[in-house]
Amino acid sequence: MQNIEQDKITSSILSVDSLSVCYGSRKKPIKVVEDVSFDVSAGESLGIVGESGSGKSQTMLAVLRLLGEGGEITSGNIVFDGRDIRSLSNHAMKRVRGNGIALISQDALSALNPAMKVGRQMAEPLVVCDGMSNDASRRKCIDLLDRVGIHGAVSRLECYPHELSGGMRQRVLIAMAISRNPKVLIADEPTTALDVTIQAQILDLIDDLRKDLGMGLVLITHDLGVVAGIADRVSVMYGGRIVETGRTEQIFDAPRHPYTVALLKSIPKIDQSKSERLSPIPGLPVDPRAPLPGCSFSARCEYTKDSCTRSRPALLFAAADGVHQFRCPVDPFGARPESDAENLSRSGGRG
Amino acid sequence: MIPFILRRLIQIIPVIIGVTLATFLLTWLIPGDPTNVLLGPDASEEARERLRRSLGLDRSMAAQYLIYMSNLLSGDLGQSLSFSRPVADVLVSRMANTALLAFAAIVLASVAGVAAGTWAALRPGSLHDRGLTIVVLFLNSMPSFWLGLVLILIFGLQLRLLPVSGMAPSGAGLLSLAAHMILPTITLAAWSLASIARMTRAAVLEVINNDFIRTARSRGLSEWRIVLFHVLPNAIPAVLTVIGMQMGFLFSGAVLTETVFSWPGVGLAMFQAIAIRDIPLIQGGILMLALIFVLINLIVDVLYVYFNPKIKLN
Repeated sequence: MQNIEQDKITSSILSVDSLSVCYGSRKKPIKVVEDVSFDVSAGESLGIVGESGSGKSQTMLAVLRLLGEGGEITSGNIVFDGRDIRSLSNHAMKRVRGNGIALISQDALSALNPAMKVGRQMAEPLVVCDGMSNDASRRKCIDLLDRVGIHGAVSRLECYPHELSGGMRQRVLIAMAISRNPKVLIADEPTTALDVTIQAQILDLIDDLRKDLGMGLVLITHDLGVVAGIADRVSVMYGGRIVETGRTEQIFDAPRHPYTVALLKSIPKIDQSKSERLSPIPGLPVDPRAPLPGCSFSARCEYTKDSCTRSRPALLFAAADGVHQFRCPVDPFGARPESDAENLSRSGGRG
Repeated sequence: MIPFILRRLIQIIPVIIGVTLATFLLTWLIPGDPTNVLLGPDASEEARERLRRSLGLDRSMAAQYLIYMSNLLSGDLGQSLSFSRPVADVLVSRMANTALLAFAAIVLASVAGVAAGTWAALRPGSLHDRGLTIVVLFLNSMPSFWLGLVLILIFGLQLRLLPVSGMAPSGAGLLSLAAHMILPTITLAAWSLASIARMTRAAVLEVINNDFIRTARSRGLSEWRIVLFHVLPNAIPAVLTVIGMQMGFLFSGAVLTETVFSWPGVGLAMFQAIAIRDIPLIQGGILMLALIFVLINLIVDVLYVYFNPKIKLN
């Protein structure tokens, strides 16, 4: 087991180990990410799923060292391409951003500078950081826009972001992210602001680029359906912690954490009869200002026992491969009848 | 862009008519008799009557306004009672001095204000942010004549570093002119500087929390580049509005500063005109200040479109 772990770390391009992030003052810190570990290899895609406030975006911002005002990495290690992100100088960190790890934000309208033409915005780091000539950067931008499926790229360079459609803006953002051949691409809910038809196109585009360019992909989403078709592995986050992680088919076919099971049940199915209602998860997301002493999901979990509220559950192995792990000592789905598993697996199509 | 400017120029006309009407009526509200000033208190009633007739003061209000307007359209602003010269001559000869002071002040206020506001906004709640808030409050609540007098006291009388009154004598050279300008410029700029700094701080704070700033950071751009090319271009439109308004205030606010420093500009002439009820000069001065105010606003609107491409010109 130790050897497998060792192998994984050496082959992964980005590995995060027991990362914790706090906001607020030192006296009264608010923990938004707690003991989160994951890794991504070149060409691999990892889905991180969780509801709003589960800490998934904060985890990624911590990786880029772009936490908001008052945010701080309190413990853990982040290793990118053999370098310790936490100990890099600001100058070296600037070279990692965009060049090593690129970010695609969720709302492309607010993620683009409204007062700068698309072409100039795309070319800026190419010229400033990579020392490209204006002509060369312009040609590269045209190629990039072509690559992400924007027609008439030459005229689009002269557009302001508000003159493009939502799907086109997201494509521009993707083109910007891949413009410096990053080794890891972080896509933070890249499709939430888009129409359903465009969503599928954008996801396919991201997936194609991942395969073509051999990038590691971290896809952050609240939608299990989105990761189903793309991700090799999935981590489910709740209340700042990873509650279950495994290969995508393991998560969909044999979920072990009650939260994952509840998430899967809340996905609408196309063959669901109208009388059959969706099962929402009762209660509200956990408030990071009032953390629970035990399992973060204990307040909403129907399988909660006394022990759940007392101590933090540890990660348990669900399968012998060491990949599928979950954080639930009660483990109500450990020995499930076969029929139940089939039901759940059918629910996982693209939303 | 050209039709937009033309359209805005046409919109100025009703504003100007309104201003002339207001200034014209204003003079009727001011107590005091202009013949008193011209002939002295001891003049006979007959002599006064004659003067009134020759000046047209015996006609109806409407007739006087029409005469005033028709003269105005032919460029005749009337005769200044105190300078014994045409009002237009007085204003034009002094306008350059006022403009010189106003432009120096707005450049100082804008550059220092935007820099200070940005600096404070980059670290909100820090020591220098709080320091700036105090300085802004101080500058904003200080009357310009008081600040002017204090500056004269310190730099002119105590330290004897700078001239405190008037403009450089003609032929004295640029250096002397600059030395004479320093204290009035600072005095005039202080209030505007504070307002611009405050507005810049608020605007930068609003922009800096936007997603596109994070995008810029995530692409490896340096912090100063992000401030200069991503934050400021988006914060500038809000600041421009304030700068435009301040510019208008600077021309009219120059009355106090010019008086304190005996700066031979329109403001000083206006002060003297008000003191002795030189009504044609008051009217002409107000009209000119209003015109400048409106033109500056037009320029600001044009710049606004330039900085904010989302504004459609129609």
